[in-house]
This record gives sequence, structure tokens and C-alpha cells, in this order.
Amino acid sequence: MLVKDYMLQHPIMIEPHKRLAEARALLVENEIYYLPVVGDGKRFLGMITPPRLAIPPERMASLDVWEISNYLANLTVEKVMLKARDLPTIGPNATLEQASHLMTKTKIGGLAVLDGQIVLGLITDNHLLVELNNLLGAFEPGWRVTVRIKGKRGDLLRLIRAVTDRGWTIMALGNVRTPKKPDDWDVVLKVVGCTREELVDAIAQLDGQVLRDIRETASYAYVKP
Amino acid sequence: MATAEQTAGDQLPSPSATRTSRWQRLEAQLGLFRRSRIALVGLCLVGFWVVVALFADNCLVTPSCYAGIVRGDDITTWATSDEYRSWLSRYSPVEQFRGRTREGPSWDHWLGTDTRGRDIWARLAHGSRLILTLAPLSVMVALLVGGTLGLLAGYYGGMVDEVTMRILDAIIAFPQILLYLVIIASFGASATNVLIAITIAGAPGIARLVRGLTLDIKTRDYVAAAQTQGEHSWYIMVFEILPNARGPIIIDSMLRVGYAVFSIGTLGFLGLGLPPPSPDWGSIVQAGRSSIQAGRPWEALWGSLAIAMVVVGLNLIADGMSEETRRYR
Amino acid sequence: MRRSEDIANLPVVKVNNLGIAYETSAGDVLAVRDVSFEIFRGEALGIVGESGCGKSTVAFGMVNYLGRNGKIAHGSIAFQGQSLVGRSPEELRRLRGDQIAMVYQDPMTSLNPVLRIGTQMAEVLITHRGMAKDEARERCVTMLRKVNMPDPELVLQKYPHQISGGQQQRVVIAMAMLNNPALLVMDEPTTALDVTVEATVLDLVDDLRREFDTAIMFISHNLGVIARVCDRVAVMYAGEVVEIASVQELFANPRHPYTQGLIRCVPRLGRSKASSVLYPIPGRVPSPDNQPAGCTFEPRCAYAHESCRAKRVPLRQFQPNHNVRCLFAEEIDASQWTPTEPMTPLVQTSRDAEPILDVDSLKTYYRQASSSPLSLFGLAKPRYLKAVDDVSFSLPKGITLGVVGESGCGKSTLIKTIIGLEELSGGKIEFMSVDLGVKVNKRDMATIRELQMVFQNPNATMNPSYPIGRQLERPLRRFKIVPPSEIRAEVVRLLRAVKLDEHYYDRLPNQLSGGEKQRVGIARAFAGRPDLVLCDEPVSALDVSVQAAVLNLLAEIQQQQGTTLLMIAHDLSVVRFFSDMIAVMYLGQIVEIGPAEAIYAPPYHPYTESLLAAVPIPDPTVEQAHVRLSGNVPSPLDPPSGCRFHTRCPRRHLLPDDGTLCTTTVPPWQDVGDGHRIFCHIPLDQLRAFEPAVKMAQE
Repeated sequence: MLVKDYMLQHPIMIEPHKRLAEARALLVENEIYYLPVVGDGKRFLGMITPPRLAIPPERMASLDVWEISNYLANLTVEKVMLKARDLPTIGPNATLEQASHLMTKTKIGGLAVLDGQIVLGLITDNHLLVELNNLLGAFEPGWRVTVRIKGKRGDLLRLIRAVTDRGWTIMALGNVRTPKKPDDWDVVLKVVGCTREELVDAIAQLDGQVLRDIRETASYAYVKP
Repeated sequence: MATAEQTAGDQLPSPSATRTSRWQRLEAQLGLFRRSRIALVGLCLVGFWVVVALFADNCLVTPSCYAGIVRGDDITTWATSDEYRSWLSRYSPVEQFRGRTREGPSWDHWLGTDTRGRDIWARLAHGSRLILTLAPLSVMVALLVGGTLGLLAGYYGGMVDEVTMRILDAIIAFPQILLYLVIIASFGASATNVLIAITIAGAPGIARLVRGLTLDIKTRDYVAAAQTQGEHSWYIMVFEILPNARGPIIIDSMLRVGYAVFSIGTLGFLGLGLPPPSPDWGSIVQAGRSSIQAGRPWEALWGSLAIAMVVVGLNLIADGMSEETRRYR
Repeated sequence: MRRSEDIANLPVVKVNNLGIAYETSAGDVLAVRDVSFEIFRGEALGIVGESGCGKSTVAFGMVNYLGRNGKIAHGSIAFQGQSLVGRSPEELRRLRGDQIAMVYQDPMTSLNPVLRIGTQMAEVLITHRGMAKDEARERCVTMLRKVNMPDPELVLQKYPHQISGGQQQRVVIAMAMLNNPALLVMDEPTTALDVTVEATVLDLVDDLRREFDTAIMFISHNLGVIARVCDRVAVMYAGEVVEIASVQELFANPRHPYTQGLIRCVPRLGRSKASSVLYPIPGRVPSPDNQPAGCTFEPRCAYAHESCRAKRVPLRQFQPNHNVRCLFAEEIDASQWTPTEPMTPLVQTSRDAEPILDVDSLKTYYRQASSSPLSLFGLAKPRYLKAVDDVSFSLPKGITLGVVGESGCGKSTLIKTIIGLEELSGGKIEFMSVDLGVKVNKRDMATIRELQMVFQNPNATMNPSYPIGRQLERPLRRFKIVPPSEIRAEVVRLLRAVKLDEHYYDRLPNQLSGGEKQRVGIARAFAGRPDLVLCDEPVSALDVSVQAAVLNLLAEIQQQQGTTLLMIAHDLSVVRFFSDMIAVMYLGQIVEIGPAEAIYAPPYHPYTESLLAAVPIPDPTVEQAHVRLSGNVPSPLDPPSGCRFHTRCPRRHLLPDDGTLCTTTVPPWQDVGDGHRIFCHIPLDQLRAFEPAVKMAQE
């Protein structure tokens, strides 16, 4: 799960000398939130996000009415963009975890994926959420069970065996430390090939493992990753 | 079996008669001057001198004096005969007006008079007849010689090609002026020798051009088709290859006629052209050269201008033609 | 974040109502009108149509490369949300460098012949992106690997002319991909390549598109190629998009009469003239300055109706994702179609007739100029290019022999030697018991008359200086077919025989279309009623709809006159359709010869197998084996030892010792029966066990 496989290739980009109005049109018409600014040869220079489109009033305080319209008309992308040096970026071979960590740390939800200085693509928090969805098999029909297990060696293996030995299939698996109980782990499985009763029964036979939740997921509308 | 009435693939929608008459084809060719402005300018420049050459005297009625001028003899009769006066030039090219030497343009003498008191316009007009006969003629002879050699070398290739082209290369290696000097100096200055000199200097270039075109056209399928029908080599060369090489050859010839005019002028200037007192443009410039410093540039100026007009005119026509061929490619 | 940005896949390019005009002396002429389409990331849109339909104009219009007199007349092109119309040349240049790449038919238009490949590839990275030299070089090597170039480091050192055409095209594609473009415009990228090379390039295009998520606009006249690489197809006719749909939908359920016609007029692989008929589309594409007022296809359409003529037909939705520009799309069903004139397949000719042409171990060598200084003194050993080396076959009277093989396999040289345009270096050709050992100018008139040829290039087949009639009269006069007084009548009869009328007598060749010129070429070849006609790729330069008409014509005349035909072609579907017998050539030798139907099913030579696996088939449901040849055709100056195919043979490993036998020993001719012979070491049983290279979905 590397950034290069999940990023958006060929994002819409803009050049620094373009008017701000053009950038605004691109953001609005294409319903996007991050607009990388690139120079010659797709070199990364900065980023335009919707908040950058709002001009701080103090910047215009000293101008009279006529000057304001002129000022706005001549405002170019490079004057308002977030500069590349202030922005977090990521390489194509980084993991998705690194990307999400960078996003949460800097509170910027869109990262330019750079190869040297060249923009290869764009990865946003949305891509990560879609992948989280896919990771947990949200779009695969089946039984979604949450089991709380002790953090002991072999516990997870026992759970998986209990399912696979009966010839059922695990479509997705997620494993996370239980919130507020750092010794326990919550395992989310997407199982197909059995009835609800069979599954509940099989898990009940495992001691020390608690079935927290079971529900059925129908086929969701498929969304392209 | 497929029926005979099946609709053919891609016929022209209207098979109305498209038989092109000779007149239509000529019109299409002349259309060049309507489409290309530079060709038209060229035509005007050259056409002016063609008209002058035709009406320089009343020779249109008695063609015998053409020969006289080209041969360069019979000079003594020129001054007196009325045949040499026409509505276009009121004087004979050798008629001298005593006391009226080196004059500027006036009503009596439109372009002035030269050092011997002869009318410059009359001399230029008669000179144009001479130069406009000699230059195309020599190019035609060069074309005949060079074209034949080039066609043979290109078509047969191999040893024929090697030998012919090496000999012609050797001629090309000589500077042209030097070649003229050698030929004229050894055979003497006369119209025939000027023609020979220009032919020898021009033929190798034409041979190269024709050879190149032949090499290209030789590979076309219609030549192979003619071969598979058992056509003779001469038939293929003359009727299959040559007609399709005509475009570049005509353009090249236009330029060559221009150069020939220039060369004849140069030879005249060097005193190697036609013997005096024939009204050779080059000699006119040469004779007028001494008067320039005396503040009377007319003779040299008009002479040079005449040469320039013809050369530039022919070049412009050639340019127009080559532009035309490029447009249709 | 609050909303699902980016995930809604926006088109990389959105062309809306585009019109492109050329300024001429007679005013502006619209070459392309009302073209709309969009291409998404990682999608390949095919644009297909005959020549003169405006396909390339659209491609050039996308990057505003229209030349001095071209301009965008109306409509918009949005690339990545921004309009491309009205951009400054400087901006467009930068965009072409950074985000849009183009690949043309001739790779040499994009390569500089005087620079090493490494230099010109790295140049893009160094000057454009300020990359260090070493890094750029490394990047080039990686990219060349991605396009499956053998020995990338070595290739970087070479000049473009030192590598083959297929490799050149790969270098061009690699160069295009170096900048990771969002849009790749490919204009007939494989048309100049051999089938086997074409197949690898198409595989490559498919891989790259997946890996780099590039949007591809793929222009081709070949339905088979389109079916192989594209997701969606737009069919263009006379400057308009007449149908646009997904590949599967378009081929299974074509709704525009033009699309149906196109699909009907290409021979399917596996069909022969005895079992099916090709239906040409009558008429020709109207020129842009002379378009019908109503539907542009109406003059050629079998379904044309009064209402079609009234006004222009808009592109409308037939089904979701399937748009058609036809008023009667609902009623026009390809499967319900009946030909307007009944056409029945031709009768199969017997292969048992006595031979008319006997070729026995024919050799044609060309002496190569040596580059060694010794050659100046005539001391260097002469080197020979073995264009045809030891070819033997015999051709029964009245049948058609098709010769197939990649370019450079010697098929052209073979027929040139037979007709006498090249001198043979060894062996024997016997034609109706006359020895053909000399060049054509030394043969007698009777032999020349019985042996004629149809040429490939329609534009060069007739002498542009003379009217058609005069050129047809010439063989009649030479061969004294008819008395001089009847010559004109005979020419008119010939013109009628090739479905042209009397008016063509006085026309000059440049007043004829390609198909018409080819017909006249056929008329000329058949003028002397020859016994054997050699055809050198007679239809490969023609559009598909015309190709069908010319093939039908050729078959019909052959049938009438009982002529024997020897036809070379590179298109296996055409050869299969047209021939009774087929010979497969590789590197100057025949590797397999036999009845047409036998060649197309196992057992076959491994080379035949790879050719079959590579043919682009205009049907996305057909499955083809994935057999690809690696490497280049070896030089005929120094052919490999043993079996000539051993350097590239994908089946060599079937033999013990990984086929060392192939490298040392010349293979035997294995007889399958019925005149079918295979030139291979692999035992027949093993050859028989091959999976068929082409699996038809339903037959």
C-alpha cells in the first residue's frame, strides 16, 4: 500500500502566472479542494486551496474602490498560493500510513506527490478514507464481525483458523488496539460463506474472545478507488 | 460468383466529361501568373524585354536580319538601312550623332547617348534581341546534352553512371568564369563560341539534376510496369521518366537562362562577348564604365539595369513556379 | 474532508462541439464539424474512419498544430478543466512538453537523425526539468525497460537509423512517457509496423495506460487495432463523429450504417472467398467543401430515406453511452441486413490442376558494397544480401497463392525475380515450360504477355503524365491483342470490366481516387489476358471500404479469365480470404506452405503461429493466444545457422536440449498431407497439440 498506487495521477494543476480568478473557476467547476501550482516541467511551486481565495481585508484597506478592482484583476496565483517550502509533500514510494501521519500532523489534507521537484500526483485525505473503506471490505457483501481478543500471541491466529478451517472466506481484516483498553485488540473481519448462526457459534467456541458486533453488509454502490 | 452489376467502390459522383483540351491545359499553366504575384512581376520584367526585342526594328517582317545580328556581320549596312528603325527605336544601333556624345536622357535620345554618340536605347533594344536569342538557345543546347547524359547515367547506373558523372564532376570543379575564358580565348569571340561555352559550363549541372530525378522516378511502379510490358529502355527513358521530371527541369532552366544572360553580360564586359560594334549589353556597360567617373553614369547604368531586369525577372518566375509545385505536393 | 473530491473522475479532455476549418482561396472549409467526446484518466478512446474523415485533423486540433491556414472555427477543448482554444503558442508549447504527448505514424518525424538516442531522450529531462545528466540517463534507461526495449544502455548510444522501425517507435513512446503526460495522442502509431511488432507495441500501450493512468486518444484506420487497445470508439465520417460507444457495444451492436459497412467490408480471419463475401461501401467520402446538405452518409447509405436529405442529423443518444448520428438507428440492425444486390461466394478452385509455374530452389542475392578499405582494390570478400534463398514451390493453374511474411522476408524480391525485374542468382523458374532465368528485357514477347503484375502503390502505378486511355492502349498495341482499329473499343471494354465507365478514358491519373487508380492498374495487368498475374500488396494502401471492392473485382476477373494469381500481402485476414494456397516466408525462405484453411489451424510452423497470434482482429470477443516474438529479424546478410527462425522461436524449448538441434541443423520438410508442408524440427504430433492461436467466440 504505497502512495504511488493510490494517488491521483495527472491532477488538475495551474501555472503561477495565471489569474486568481482562473484558479477559482478551476476549483469550483471541478469541485476540487487542492490545486497544485506548477512551473515549467511540472515543478512544484505551491498549492491553492479554497481559503487562499479569500483576500484578507487588511490587504485592501489602504486601497480605494478603483484600485481594488484593479488589484483583484491583477492578482496572480503565485501571490496568494501556499509556497512549496511551507507545504508538506510526500514521495511516491512512501506508505499510506506515512501520508496519513503527515496529513494529521500538518492539518493539511492534500499532499503533492513529488519525484524530486516534479509533481507526479496528488493524495488527499479522501483517498485515505476510501482506502480505509476498501481495507475493511466495506463494498464486499458479507458478515462484518468485530471480535475483541487479548493481545496474546496466537490469539489472532486462532480466530482466523476458526473461520478458515470451516471453509469460509475472510474478505477483509482490520486489527486495531481497543480504544481506552490498550491491552486488548479489536479485530474486524468480513466473512462470507456461512450463515450468521454458524459464525456466532464458531466465535463463541473460542475462549477469551468476545463477539462485540455482527452485521450484514449488502453491496454498496461501487466507488472507484 | 459476384454479379457483374455490383456497385463499384468509389467512383466520382459525376462522371461528366473531363476531357481537357489543349487550351484548357495552357490556361491552367498560365494560371500561375494569376495566382502568384511574384511570378507576375517576373513576367512583366521579362515580358518588357521580349516585346522590345520583337519590335526593335521591322525584322518581324524580314526575318533575315535576325541572322545578321546573331552572326554579327553586315555591320556597315546597319547604319543606313531603314529596316533597323521601328516605332520602338527611332535610330539604328550603330548610327552615330556627332557632337552629341555622353548625353543624358532627352526627348531625342530617351536614354541618352554613349561615348560615340550612339543612341543608348537603340543599342539596348537591339541588344535585347541578341541576348534573348542567345541565352535560351544556349540553355536549350545544354539541356539537350546534359539531359541526355543525366538520363542515361541515372537509368543505367553502374559503370555508365560512374564514368559520366566523374567526367562531369571534373568540369564542375572548374570555376565557371575560368571555363568561359579558356574556351573563348582559344576559339575566339563569336556568338557560336559563347553558346558553346555556356553549354559546356551548364551541361554538368543539368546532368546532375536529371540524373537525380531519374534515380527517383526509376523506382516508381509505373516504370516497373512498363518494364514488365517489355518496353525498350529508350521508350521508358523518353516517355515514362522524362515527362515526369519536367517540372524541376523547367524551373531549373528558367534560372539557367537568367544565369546565361548574366554570363553573356559578363563575357561582353570582359571583352570576350560579341565583337564590336554589335550592341551587346555587357559591352555597353564596359564602354560606359569610364564615363562614370566623369559624372555621366547613364550608359553603364542603363546597361546594368537591363541585365538586372531580365535576370531578376526570370528568377522571380522560377520562384513562383517552385512555390506552385510545393503547394500541390 | 467534507466532500468526495477527486474521486468523481473528471475527464482529462473534454471536446465539445469542435469545428476545425482550413482557409482556402475559395473561403473557409470545415474539415471537422460538431465533434464532441471526452477521455478519462487511464482510458483509451479510439478514433476510426477512412482517410479524409478528419481523424488526424482532430488530433492536431487538440494541440493547435493546424498549420498556417488551419483554425478552430467553433467549439471548445477543455484539457484538465482549462480551455485549450485561444492559448498562446508559448503556453501550448509548454503544455505539449509537460502534459500532452504525441506519437505519429512515422517515428522519424519525432527523432532527430543526427543525435544519439540517449542525447535526445535525456535532453527533455535536462533542459526541461533541470535534472542532472546521470540521473536523466538513468531515468531514460528505466523508461526504455518499461517499453520492453532489449539492451537499453546500448540503445542510448545508437543513432535512430541504427535501430529498427519497431524499436524507433518504442523510443518515441518512451520519450513521450518520460514527462508522464496526462494525455497521449497517438496518430496511427502502428500502421507502418509489421504485425508481430505491432502486437508488441499495442501490448505496450495497454500496459503504460494502466500504469501511468494516461488518457489515450488512439487514431487508426484499422478496426482490429482499435478493438485490441481501446475502451471506447468514436467512428468518424466526413468530419463528423457518427457513432460513439464502448468497444464491445460498437462491434456487437453497431447502429450507424457506416459503422456496419466498415465492419462488413473487412475480411474476418478464417473466412475465405468461398465461404463469404466482402461488401464494399459504394461511393466515396465527400470532400469537406462539397458536403451533402442532409446526413453526410446519405449518398452512400442503403437505408437512405427522404427525411435524411432534408437537414443535418444531430448526434443523439441511442442508449446510455452509445450515441449515433442516424435518424433510424433503432430500425437499423446489422444482423437483419441484406445486401442490396445479391452476391454469392466464389467457387473454390481445384488445387489439382497441372502446375503453371515451377520455382526450384530459387536464390536472389544482392551484392553488398563492402566498407572495408580492401574493396578499393577489389580484394575484399564480396558480401551478399540473401533476399531470397532456396525457395521452391509449384503453382497449379487457376489458383491463388498468397505469400505472407514480415517486411524484409523477401516476398517482394521473390515476385520481382519471377517477373524479371531482378536477376536471379541461382535455381530455376519455369513458367509454362519456358525458362525464366533472364531479366524481363531479354524475354520474348509471348512470355512477357502471359506474365503481368499489379503494383502496390496506387499513386505510382499509373504514369501521371498521360491520360488513362493512352496507358491502357499501350499494352494492347504492344501485345497486338486486337487490331489497331478496335483498340479504343477494347480499352473501354477493359474499363467497364473494372467497373469504370468510358469517361475515364481521357482522365489523368491525378483526377482519380486511390481505388480507381488501382482498378486501372488491374485493367492494365489484365489487358493482355495473361496466364499469371503477380500482385504486390494490391490493396494495402487502400481504405477498407475500397479494399473490399478491389478484392471482389480481382476475384471476379480471375474467375472469368481463369488466371492464376500470386499475391503477396502482409494482412493475414486478406490473404486467408483471397487465397487457395498460402506460403509463409521468413528471412528469404518459405517456412510453411499449404492449403489456406490448413495454415490457419494447428499443426503450423511456430512462426505462422506467432503471426496468427499477432493479427489484429476487428472483434473484441475473439481470444488470441499470447505469443510474441522477441528481438528483431536477423540481417539477411548473415542469416542464422540451422533453422533461420531459431533466434526468435518461442517453441524451441519443446525440443530436447532447448533446441540445440535448431541452431545447428537445417530443419526437414515435414509433410502433413494435401500439399501442406512445414519446415521445422518439432515433430508433427507436437505441432498438432498447439492451442489454436485464434479462438472465435461463435462460429
